[in-house]
Amino acid sequence: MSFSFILMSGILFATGIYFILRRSLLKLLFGVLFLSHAVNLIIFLSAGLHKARPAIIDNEMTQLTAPYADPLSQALILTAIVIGFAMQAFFIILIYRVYKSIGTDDIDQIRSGE
Amino acid sequence: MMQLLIIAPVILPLGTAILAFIFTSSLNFQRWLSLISFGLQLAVSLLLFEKVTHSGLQVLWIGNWQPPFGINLVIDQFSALMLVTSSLLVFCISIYTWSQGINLREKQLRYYPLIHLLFMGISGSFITGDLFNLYVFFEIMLMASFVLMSLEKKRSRIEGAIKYVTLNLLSSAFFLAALGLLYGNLGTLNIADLAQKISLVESANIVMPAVLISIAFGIKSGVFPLYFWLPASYPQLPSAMVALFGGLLTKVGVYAMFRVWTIIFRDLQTDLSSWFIIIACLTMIIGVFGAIVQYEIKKLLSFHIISQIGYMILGLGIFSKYSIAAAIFFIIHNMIAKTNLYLVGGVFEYTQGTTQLKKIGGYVKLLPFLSIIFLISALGLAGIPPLSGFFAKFLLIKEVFIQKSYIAAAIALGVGILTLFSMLKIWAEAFWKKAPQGDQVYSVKTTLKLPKTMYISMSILASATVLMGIEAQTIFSWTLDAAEVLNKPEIYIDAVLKNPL
Repeated sequence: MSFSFILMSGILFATGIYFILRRSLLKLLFGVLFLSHAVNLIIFLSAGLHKARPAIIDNEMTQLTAPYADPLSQALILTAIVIGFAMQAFFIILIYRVYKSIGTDDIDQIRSGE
Repeated sequence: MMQLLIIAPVILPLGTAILAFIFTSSLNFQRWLSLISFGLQLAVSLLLFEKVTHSGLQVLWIGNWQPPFGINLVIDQFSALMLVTSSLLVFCISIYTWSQGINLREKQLRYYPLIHLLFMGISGSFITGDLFNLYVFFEIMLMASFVLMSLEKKRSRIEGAIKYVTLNLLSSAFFLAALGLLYGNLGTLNIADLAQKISLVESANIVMPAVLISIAFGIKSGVFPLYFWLPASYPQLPSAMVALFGGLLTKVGVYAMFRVWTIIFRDLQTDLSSWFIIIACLTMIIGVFGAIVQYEIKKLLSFHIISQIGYMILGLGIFSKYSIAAAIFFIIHNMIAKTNLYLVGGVFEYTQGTTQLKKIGGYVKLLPFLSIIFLISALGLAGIPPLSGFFAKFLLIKEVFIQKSYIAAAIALGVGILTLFSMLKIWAEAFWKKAPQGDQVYSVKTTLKLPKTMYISMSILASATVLMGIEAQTIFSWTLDAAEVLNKPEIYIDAVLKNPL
């Protein structure tokens, strides 16, 4: 199971980097989106994928007993998703503004403004 | 109560930013608010610095969560020094922008809340004791800088912004991936806890996150070969803002690099130190050669940022107590001198509307006082005694010699000469030569008047450069204390984990 996640994350990473290296603005946007998904998957995997109970102490107990899922990586991924979402929203607007100002999808065209 | 002072460097700018957002229509209110807030910030940083010097590391566990589970803020000598320097810089910049701002009134209104948010990210990065928290503060800083960078619709600004944003999002992705891998291996992201547990894991598992994290910080600090975004995006900004960016943002990357490589990955460091030295040398050379060919003052200085990042990384690569202390000295000196040079560049922009060296001239007659300020900062940057840069370079290169990296030492010296050369180029072009005559678009003025606030801020920074040279011994003893903590992570680990709450 975790192997497929690793594979998925690798594919997303590779696709993201490939898209960032392309000349099209839209592909740049998708590249950044893919990258952030790839990274989120890595964090998701970091606590390990195994069956376990939620990390809640039972009424009779005073301590957590062994097989429990690590809640911290969930908290990390949630934060990462929220921050990533804000960044992507900003990036989409920026890309749109660039598109409106240069009127083309080709990043190389921007350079003529120098 | 005193404990809560530790969080003030984050709370203060946040509160100010919110207030500035609310009263966004009143320029005067925002000016005073910024000045007072940054003044308070400087006072708080000095107070914290004094506390750290006298009673050791200051730790605050937020929400009283037991270590190592909660988020903690740690202030050691290094972070306290960085806090003091950066708040001095923003204080001076807020004086500088008093009357001039970033030229346009409506943009200035949106500018104030953003610089406070930016500064919140910066000072948060300096004081956090948790890597994930560092990521969050980095993102706050980045978001504010993204917006500042794309405030104007000018085509060149947008072009710079898109490179800057893309590269920084890439670096955030790498940083986050490294955090995921570290957490998977060690089950913690607390810096002290990581440092304690890192030796339990095979070093092969640590290499990957260590390299990823270095790439991420390398992009942010602009080391070779990850610096391309910097000269492409910084020069598009107005001078006051590029002073803020160039002086502070790259140094936050360097700070983070120092923090992780000295406290967490120090066992790997010994294997990789030759790589650090090579990268440092290449960064120095490429940066300074890039600067030599430039005739636009902001571009020239942006390449110098890169070149000087090389010196700092060299200090990290040599990795002895003295080299780290010298590198910290260098960081502080460089932040002050570089910011002031950008501010001088801002005067050209303000008075002649251009920063092209070919189109300006005669400033030694027009503004004699400005030329003194420029000379102090430029010679300080190049490393002429008795200014701060001389001692920074002297201490660093001496240690490089002692550690027998002769080639690196030779390169560092050679780059110093080239730095002097390009500083003298600015001097000769902007100050010494007569103002260009003929059919140029820019009218040659015979008398110029600068707002007093600009003089005040630049004088503070120039005198800081002089004072750092005169008081080099005192400051070096402080940076030695800072290097002591970085060199013996046990001090850091004990302070954070051994006496909880």
